[in-house]
Amino acid sequence: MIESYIRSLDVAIGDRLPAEVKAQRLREAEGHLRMAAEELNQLEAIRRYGGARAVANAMVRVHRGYETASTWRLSLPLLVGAVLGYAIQFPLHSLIPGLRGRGPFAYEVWLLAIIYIGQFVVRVAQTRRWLFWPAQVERLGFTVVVCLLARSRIPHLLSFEFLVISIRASAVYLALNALTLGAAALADRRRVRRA
Amino acid sequence: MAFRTDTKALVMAALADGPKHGYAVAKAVRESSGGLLKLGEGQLYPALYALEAEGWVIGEWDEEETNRRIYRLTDEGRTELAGRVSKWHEFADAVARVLPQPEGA
Repeated sequence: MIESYIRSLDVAIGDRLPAEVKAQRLREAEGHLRMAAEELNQLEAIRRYGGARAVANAMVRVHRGYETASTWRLSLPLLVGAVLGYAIQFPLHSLIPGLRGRGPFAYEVWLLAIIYIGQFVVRVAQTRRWLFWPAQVERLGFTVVVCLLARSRIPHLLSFEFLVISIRASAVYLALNALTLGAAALADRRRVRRA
Repeated sequence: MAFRTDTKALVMAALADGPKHGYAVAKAVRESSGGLLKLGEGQLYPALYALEAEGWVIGEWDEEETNRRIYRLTDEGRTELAGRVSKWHEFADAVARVLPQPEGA
């Protein structure tokens, strides 16, 4: 069972660590599991050690200093945040009396853009990866879906005011991203080169 | 626990009284905390490697048991641990001043 776990760990690490480092990590993991199995049993020792993929990712991250999974996958939480934020606008707009009749999304779009930038900065700091382009593509895809839905189902989304606000918010969002996150991108590239 | 555990400080504290291999570090933390703190053992090693990269611990292969790596705290590690211990106590004291005493105490 331990051999099988070590093989899983080996596969999960893949070629993300230099061969010598990987061999040392696997050797140490096996030593640990055998010691633990003497006291417990193999199954419990493996359970306490944790899932092979999570352990492998942590090892790679410590070695390289940044998250190694695909930037597409890493940026998915941003998309989820954007979708939730967008969905929240509808009940907000209908529940808050002051927003009624003032034209749709006058403040919400700006607010959501700012929240999204915040999320983006946090996510880049967490993963230490440059998530700009995948996040943009995913967001664009979502926007296209919303536009298609709007065309067929939600007539007030087609208002001219909404379109203008969306374009302005996107422009501000892109400009702020470029300014505030350019430094993060350079730092990330330097770190990748060093690793 | 609602308060975040400083895993690196726990690992360094376990190494403060002498060199140990990873399994012994996990065991020391578990036993010293009366079983309350259970470090994910697979996650303990990345913490050890990070400490090693910082120069706060040094790892060397055990000459007798070839699959075991023994870690020891460096002088820089002791200094770092002392700083973290001091900060932790400041934080814990501040929280204790705010929280009410447990019932029956």
